Amino acid sequence: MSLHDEIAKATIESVRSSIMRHMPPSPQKNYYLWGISNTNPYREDFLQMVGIYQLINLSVQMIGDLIEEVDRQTVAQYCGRINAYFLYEIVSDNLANGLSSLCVIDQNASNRRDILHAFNHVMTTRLKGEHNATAELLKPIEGLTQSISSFAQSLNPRKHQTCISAYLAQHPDVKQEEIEYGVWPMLVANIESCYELAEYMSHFQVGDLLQQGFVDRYQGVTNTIQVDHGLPLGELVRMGTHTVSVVPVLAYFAGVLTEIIRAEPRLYSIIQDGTLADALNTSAVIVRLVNDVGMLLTLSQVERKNVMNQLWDHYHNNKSDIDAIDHLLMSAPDEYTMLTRLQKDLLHGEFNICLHNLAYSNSIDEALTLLDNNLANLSELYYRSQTHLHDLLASIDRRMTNRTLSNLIAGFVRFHEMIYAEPYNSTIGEYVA
Amino acid sequence: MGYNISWYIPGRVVQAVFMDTISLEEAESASAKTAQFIQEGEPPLVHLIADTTNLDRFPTNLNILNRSASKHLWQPKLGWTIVISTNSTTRFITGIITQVARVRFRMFPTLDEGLRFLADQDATLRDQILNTITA
Repeated sequence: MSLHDEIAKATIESVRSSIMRHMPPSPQKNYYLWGISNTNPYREDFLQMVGIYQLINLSVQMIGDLIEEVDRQTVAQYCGRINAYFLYEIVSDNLANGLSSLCVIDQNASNRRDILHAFNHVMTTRLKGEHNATAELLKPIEGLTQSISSFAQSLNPRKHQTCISAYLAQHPDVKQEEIEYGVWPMLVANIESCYELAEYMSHFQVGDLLQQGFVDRYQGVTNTIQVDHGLPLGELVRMGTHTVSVVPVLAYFAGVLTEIIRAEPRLYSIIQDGTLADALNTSAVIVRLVNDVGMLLTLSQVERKNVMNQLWDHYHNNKSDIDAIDHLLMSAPDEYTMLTRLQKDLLHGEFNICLHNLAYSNSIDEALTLLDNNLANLSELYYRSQTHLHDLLASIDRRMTNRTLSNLIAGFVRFHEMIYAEPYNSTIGEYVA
Repeated sequence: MGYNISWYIPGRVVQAVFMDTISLEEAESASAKTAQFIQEGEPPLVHLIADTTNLDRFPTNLNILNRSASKHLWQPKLGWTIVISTNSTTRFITGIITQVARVRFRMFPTLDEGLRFLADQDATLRDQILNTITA
């Protein structure tokens, strides 16, 4: 069996186990169990739609070249565990779509902000070991979640509609609304599966890094959805870096590869002096930057000036139709898909470090000038971070007995640089970290 | 109400006519109602003709439109979406949303031109559509 097939098998088994143990009884639970079941004729579509295939591909890319054949099955089990958590994470992460500074905050958006605020609080307190009553503590927002269409919040509502239509044809007693507006059980399962991962890894040296990474992520999301004013670029980068799950994910796989599968005797030293934490945080900065800005980061000053000149020309040629910066960026000719990451976040209303402050500019002219400055500063930060990470990985290599850890981190960053260079609506660019 | 949804050809072609001013709530309910028509239509494909010739004002926030007023675009049975408009802003916004949703989409300045295009695309409807144009 190939590594891909091993991870696919383990992931689906972990998802099934997690749904059974972590998700409260609900139509949603029945739908997901049907979705992953071998008897479902639309199983392939379902697995694609909920992101399981993308998660499997990411796992293969991350650890494929780092493990021996003899360890495959064990490593696949660990991939399955974290992938099960990410299945729910995709759903809760989607609730923040439409809450960026450039979005109009209507009643539905306000409800989602309240839901996320409560969810992030229950998550962080659970991770800190302050309670063992997730469902009970989330109960007050259950009614609010029933106003939210998980399909509309997703990046692929058409695929959701296709799968639910198939399900309803086989289960005429179920109503679409019970599934489409039934996100609450997923939130409970999200917290419980995250806690289970963190608790398990707390017995290893990477445990503290992983737990703090998760806590930072959920507190970071609360910060990004609360901010209602412009912020210095450095502060936006800091906030954005916390919300990507790079630190906990890399800490998890670092633990699997250097503590569980093979014991790396010198791991302790790079944890103690903060080298590993620095490497993971720097990776998170790079991944956040490529997630938000994409290929624009790699342009020379002259090339960037050309892109900006094209945007100015497009604006001047279509001034009568363009009344907002999002209209301009969404409609600009983009032969080399340079704008794809900005366009994705504009369309889905996601927090973006390069775009956040544009919402507080007084005109499109001012917004374009700000965009130019942001791109210049973020490109510089990108190169500085890459150099710093290179130095850190060289230091880790010198101190460890093998290159597994540095290869894991470098490969993870490279993979994200590659996928975020692709158009966001292509199959490869669809994966969201 | 600034819109009216009905069958142009029962079970096969939905007609959505928009007029005057459309609020976000109306855009949402029009989209949901259109989705219902498409769901109840005959397989394999139900086409949509959206006539915005007499529409003056409508929500232009791309994110909200994409999230809240595009339920009809998710429908697996949706065939061609034909938008009738001469207004450049309508053409601009509609073009972005339908492009993102990756649906089969064309825009025409008159209903006649839109119908003739649809008749060319779907041979099973050709005679019925051409009869309505010449009638």
